[in-house]
Amino acid sequence: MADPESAEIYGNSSARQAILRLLNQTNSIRSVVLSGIGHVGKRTFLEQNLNEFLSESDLRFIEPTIDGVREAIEFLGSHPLFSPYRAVYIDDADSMGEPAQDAMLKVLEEPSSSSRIFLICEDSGVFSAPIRNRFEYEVRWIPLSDAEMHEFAQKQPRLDEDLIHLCRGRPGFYTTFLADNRYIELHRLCIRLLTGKEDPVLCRIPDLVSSTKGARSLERDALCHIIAGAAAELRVEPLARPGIQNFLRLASDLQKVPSLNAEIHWQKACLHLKR
Amino acid sequence: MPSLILITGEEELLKERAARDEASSSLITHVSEYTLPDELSDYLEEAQMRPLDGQPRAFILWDATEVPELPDGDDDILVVVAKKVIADKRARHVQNFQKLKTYDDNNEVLKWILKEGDSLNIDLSRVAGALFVNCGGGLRKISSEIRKLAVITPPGGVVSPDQARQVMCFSADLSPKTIIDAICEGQTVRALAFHDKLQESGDETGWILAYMQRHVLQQIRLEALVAAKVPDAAERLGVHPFLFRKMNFRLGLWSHSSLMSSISTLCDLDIAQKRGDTLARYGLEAEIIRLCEEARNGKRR
Repeated sequence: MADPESAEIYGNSSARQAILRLLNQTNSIRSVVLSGIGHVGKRTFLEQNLNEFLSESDLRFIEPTIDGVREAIEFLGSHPLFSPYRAVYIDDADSMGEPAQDAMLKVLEEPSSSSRIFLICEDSGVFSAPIRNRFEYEVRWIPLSDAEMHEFAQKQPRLDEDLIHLCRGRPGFYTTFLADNRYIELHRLCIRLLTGKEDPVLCRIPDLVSSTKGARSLERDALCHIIAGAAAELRVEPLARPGIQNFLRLASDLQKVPSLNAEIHWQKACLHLKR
Repeated sequence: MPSLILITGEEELLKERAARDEASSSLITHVSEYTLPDELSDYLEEAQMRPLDGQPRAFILWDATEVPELPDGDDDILVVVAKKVIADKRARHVQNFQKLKTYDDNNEVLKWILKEGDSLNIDLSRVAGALFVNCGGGLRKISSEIRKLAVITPPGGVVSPDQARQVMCFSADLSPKTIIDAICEGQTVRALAFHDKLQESGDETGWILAYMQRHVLQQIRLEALVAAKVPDAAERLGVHPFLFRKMNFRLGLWSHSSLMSSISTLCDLDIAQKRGDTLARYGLEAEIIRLCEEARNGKRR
């Protein structure tokens, strides 16, 4: 159900209510983790509400790096100017390296009464044990149900059943797939490759794969989602079984190591389909 | 009538020497040099004024694309140095210095090194190969190394590898491509030497891995395209048809299963390296050795 206070966010109503409750209480939990799969609206929802509760000068977005954490320490060290507390939020927090996590410990150990820290991540299990132990509250987000996805899609320029199916409960991907037809084509190509209807050696490398470069982005995540989705879709197909593992591994590698060259690893996964 | 000498070609050092030799062999004391097109007007101004003492003059024009107006003095010499061949009937003689070939079976640079040593009265036969590998095909760099060797070697002496090692600087343009070439030749020691040299100034494992991955993938695709007799194979491989024909010589150097195992290993090493695993470098060395050995066996077959 859509919440009137956060008109663009669908599903995860209990998670949203929990966050709203936390934001309303001025003297309560100081470190909160929003965990769960990406592109379901965690950051959008948090940003919308933080902006509503706090003044601009008492809120800061922090990069998941050691410099970012130092900036957070400095920012939270001062008293709030116009709000009941000061808050920082870190998106993609599970990409923080060891030094950044060590620096983060300092903030989590002795948070002042007028500070709030929000970490947004896909998997809170990747944090080091001392960090995990210091989280005061974890709000889990789950993929949207079919009904919620339909509700979301109806508000978009076009309702496409295939795309809803392809998104598998992640509304963030729906708009991306709607804007770029190449994602659907890539999905079809993956299915053809996995079922042996396309030569994996001689087929041309899709544009989407060769143009995916550099750091983690929505496009890179969408690419991984499509590849993993095609493999998952064919899990009961005996013909596709040998390739499923390759494609799942490709999607996982591309997501976990953003500096990997997608084109090279795509070709490797395709070549091994022919074995 | 002034003399016109045309010197063309791509070997800059040889052109430069020939031009200066021409100017000095005429025993003219007054030699003026101009770089075209910037200094063309200066040359024309100078060339049209006869000196009061009536002495002949020599003019060297660098980077010319055509022959400008000849100088006014009857005994004057004009040496025109150009990259592309210029046809001019007035030329007294024409010299063309094409890029020296560096093929395995016909390495003109090695021959030139030996000749250069002879001209300086030193024997470079034991270090010619090392000079070529260290400096690449650039004659100017090689010449500079040879001059250093000539200073420390007594006239008529043979330059030993130990002597050379003390003074030589590594300046070849090294890239992972040189490692790939050595792998294709089955030269394990050479490939590892290039690998070590490349890693000397910093960790270049990622760069080398990327080249090797591309090479192995290209090899697998090449085999598949040739087997399927695809008409536009060169285009689909993204190379010039001439290069595609040249690449066909590499067919059969590695078995299909070996290439498949290689690409798996290289991709795993790539992931390990990007996750900060320093051991990836040793895995890469092992893969270079394996591919080299197999290429050598393939060549023997």
